[in-house]
Amino acid sequence: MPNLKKIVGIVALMVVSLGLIGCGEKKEKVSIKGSDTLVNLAQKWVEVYGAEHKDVAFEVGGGGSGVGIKGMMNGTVKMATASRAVKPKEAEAIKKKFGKDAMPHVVALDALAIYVHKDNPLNEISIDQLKGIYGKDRTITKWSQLGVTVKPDEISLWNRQNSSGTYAYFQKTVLGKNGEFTLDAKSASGSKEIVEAIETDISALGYSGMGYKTDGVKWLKVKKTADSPAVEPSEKTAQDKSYPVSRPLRIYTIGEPVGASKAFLDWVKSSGGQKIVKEMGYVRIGSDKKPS
Amino acid sequence: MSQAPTQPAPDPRRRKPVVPMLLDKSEPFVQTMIRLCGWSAILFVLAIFFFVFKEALPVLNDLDLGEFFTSDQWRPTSEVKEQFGIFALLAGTLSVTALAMLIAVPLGLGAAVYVSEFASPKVKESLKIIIELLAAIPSVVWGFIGMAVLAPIIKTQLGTSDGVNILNGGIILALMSIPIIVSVGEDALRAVPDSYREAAIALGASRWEVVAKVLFPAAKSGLLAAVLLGVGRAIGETMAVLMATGHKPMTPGSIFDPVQTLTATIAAELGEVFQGGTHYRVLFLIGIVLFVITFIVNLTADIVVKGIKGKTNE
Amino acid sequence: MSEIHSDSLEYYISPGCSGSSSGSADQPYTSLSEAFEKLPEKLVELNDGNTGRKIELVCIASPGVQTKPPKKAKHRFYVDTKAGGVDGQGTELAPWADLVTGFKHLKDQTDQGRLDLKPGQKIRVTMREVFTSTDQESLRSGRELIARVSFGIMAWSLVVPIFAILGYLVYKAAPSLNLDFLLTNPKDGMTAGGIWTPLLGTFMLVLISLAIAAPIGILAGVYLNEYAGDNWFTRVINLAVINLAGVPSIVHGLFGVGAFVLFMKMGVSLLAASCTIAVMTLPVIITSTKEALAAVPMAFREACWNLGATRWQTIRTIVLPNSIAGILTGVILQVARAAGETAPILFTGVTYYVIVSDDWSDKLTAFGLNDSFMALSNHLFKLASNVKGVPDSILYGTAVVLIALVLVVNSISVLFRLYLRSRKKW
Repeated sequence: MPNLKKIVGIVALMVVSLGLIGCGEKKEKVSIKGSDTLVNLAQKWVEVYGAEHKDVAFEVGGGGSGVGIKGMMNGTVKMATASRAVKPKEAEAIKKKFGKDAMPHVVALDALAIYVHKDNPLNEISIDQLKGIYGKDRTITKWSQLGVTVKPDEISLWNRQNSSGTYAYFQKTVLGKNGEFTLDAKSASGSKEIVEAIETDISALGYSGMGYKTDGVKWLKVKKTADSPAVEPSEKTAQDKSYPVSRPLRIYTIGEPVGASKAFLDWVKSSGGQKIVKEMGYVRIGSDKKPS
Repeated sequence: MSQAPTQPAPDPRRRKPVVPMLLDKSEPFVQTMIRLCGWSAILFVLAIFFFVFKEALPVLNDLDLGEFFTSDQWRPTSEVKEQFGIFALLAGTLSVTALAMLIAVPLGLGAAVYVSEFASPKVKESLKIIIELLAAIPSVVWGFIGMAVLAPIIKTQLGTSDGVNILNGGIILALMSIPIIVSVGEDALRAVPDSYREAAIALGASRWEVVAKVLFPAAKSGLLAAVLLGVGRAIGETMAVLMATGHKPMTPGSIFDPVQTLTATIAAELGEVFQGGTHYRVLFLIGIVLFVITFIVNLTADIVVKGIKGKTNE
Repeated sequence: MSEIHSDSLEYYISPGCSGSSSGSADQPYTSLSEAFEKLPEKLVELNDGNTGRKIELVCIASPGVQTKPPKKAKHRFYVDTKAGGVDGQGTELAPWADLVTGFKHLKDQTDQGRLDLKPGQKIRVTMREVFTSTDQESLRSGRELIARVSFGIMAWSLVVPIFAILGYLVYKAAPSLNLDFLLTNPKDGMTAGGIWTPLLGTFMLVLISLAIAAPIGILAGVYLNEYAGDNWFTRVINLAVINLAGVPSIVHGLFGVGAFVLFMKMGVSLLAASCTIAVMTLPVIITSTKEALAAVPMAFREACWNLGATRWQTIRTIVLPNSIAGILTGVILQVARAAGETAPILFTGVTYYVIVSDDWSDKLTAFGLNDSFMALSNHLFKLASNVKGVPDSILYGTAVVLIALVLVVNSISVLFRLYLRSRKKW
């Protein structure tokens, strides 16, 4: 019998703790979800901004641009971070459900850098070469075809998983509208995984946001065509669009943002928020640039 | 406690405190609850099948199942032409599982024999506890070990271009499925009646001969069940293979190739797909494929185990 | 049956020496023929049948020189008095029938020059008994040793690398293994601070899933062991339980999305994730409850029924109190499993980051039932694959805490079981 009493006690304890959990909801909740590229940045914004605005409960989630937009459509996400534009199909669904458009706010720029091992002799690469490496036909599979000697000669290729915004953007920009990726590449769940793999593999090649640079890897300069000048990814070249593989990172809201969301977005676009963009290794939106 | 009405009861309130009385009164209610909970197991299995099937079903209208199983083109997000061929993913799952079993079956059965037939009681007890703890390590930790510890070792020691590949995933999955093989295998060996061992020893057989010529044949269905349960665990494993196999949707040519498995595909892609889209539904369809495969494997194991129990009872 | 000896009798010869010869090291026989002539009488004097004995004839260079006798005999012969008097060749398979004929044959061989012994060599004549080991047997015992050792290696080869890996993880994690690490929120883009929020999320996930799964699972176990008859329906339920246990965790995740997130409209939330985990861990609880109940002897129940108690009274007052510890073991195992799982919560409730202030009032109530939450397992996954610049100590520290959490819970159940076994009353 005493055993049974103990159990009743344990159950009672659990009920009480559940009750405590239920009390958690009291503040305005703002959930920011979506792109994995933006998640670290959004997390840092929220950390700094949230420290001074304790009346708002922020929640940051990754998973990909699709998750955020999907969540916005379901009403569970207030601000969707996206490294790609909302697709027409999605825009239509949002318009139909809420009667308002999904509003993009460009909050940062991201140059997709091409990463290789720091000891790799290659320094620049053209878009056409990238197409040969990543394209379905795989015309380039060896380092010697790029004019450098690396051992082993086989390019160990890294891609992102096929549902990420980074993947879609790279596909469109480098392979062209109808381009298809080769399947002969490892796909990483996150950008960091790619960079870490390249750190330990001299024959590896991959792409990721600028924010993931470490000492063990280096960026390749990218040429638009075989004859055009090679451009290093940087804040300046991304802002003036001379670096060919850079993209805007956006936060979507349904209609014009109001209340806590508006205050947060204004802060993000202000120098305070943009300082963090730079700290995290992304590119600030140009001061002359109007968020579009 | 007793409800016998013949007993004199001068003060019923003292003899029957309130709480037990309430508990007694609740009998019909409690019995109904117990029955419902018992039946809930069936309900949940059906519910799993129902809900996964419900999400996958609409896609069957516009998906060629023949192509689904035989095409090795997994291009679910292609702008040009979406293709959903899981052949390469099946090959990935099967190759990693096969390698894992190649490692885990001899080691696991060997360990089971050692634990059950050779080890002293103390060693036996501590080995069993350690192996049980091995089983408790979460799969995401195994994946992390594969990625952070094993991958650099494979790369530097074997000079392969990738540290994350079938070999890495196979080793990790082997370590994950060994505990179940050991514990079920040991049960199977223990289920062989001692009289078998005694008879063999009386005939002059050595311990090794007892194991090889008496126990293995006698316990073979139990050992088979152990292996099948290990296979089931390896096929269904998600996080470890997601992190340790490299995730490349191509049919592998050697054990140093990275592969993508069925489970890892769901884990990596479901989060970002458009809900209700073809890709989303196809991922649920893969879930059904996995459900069916593991169902068959587990059912076979169960039937095999039942087979032994029936035999030993006779 | 005469007494069996396992010892060996040693006699010596020293070719070419002179003087009295008794076969001892000081007074060796002078030649092989002499030894073979005199030995039978000598052995008969012992008058014990010499069963099981080995008779060894060692050749030494000169009398009294105690060189170490060689381990291996140059020539080996066998005598088997129980072989039925058939005269063989003195080999193991065809032994001589008795010592006297044996030595006669040996003497003949020596005289014909077919048998010779140099100093440092020896001849062994084995008197076989039923239970003396033959060469074949020692070969087998060698094989036995090999089998034993190799099975042992198989078993220990699992243990050693695991401890090496765990040791390595702990070594890398060492700088962050302190109480602060557990009690601080992640900071600076999760590259600093501790793991309080994911730890809390895991804790709540476990607690809520336990609150759902434990009652259902225990009652289901009670039903299967105490109520259900042995019919096809029960067998179907048992089969369902077994298969529920075999469903891959990612499929449970899909089920959670379909059933809880979408159909029951819970959304991506702590509640949906807990329900998913609850369904996943149900079979563990059901099975262990069933086993714990089955271990209570039937006589207990019968005694109780005979006193007029109903089924439920019997269960409540006799069966459950006697099996509660075993049931709790299963529940604890469920906790360990729930704490470590990632795949089922990936789409049903877990999120990358939730900001929580440093006030303890916030830190304790960070997640509501309808919020998404952070969990330790997912935190490790994200740190490993997605977050840039995480110090190794935090990355490995998270892994070590997760392992420690699960192992501690598991060890509790192991200790519980050992304790139970020690005080089992029936």
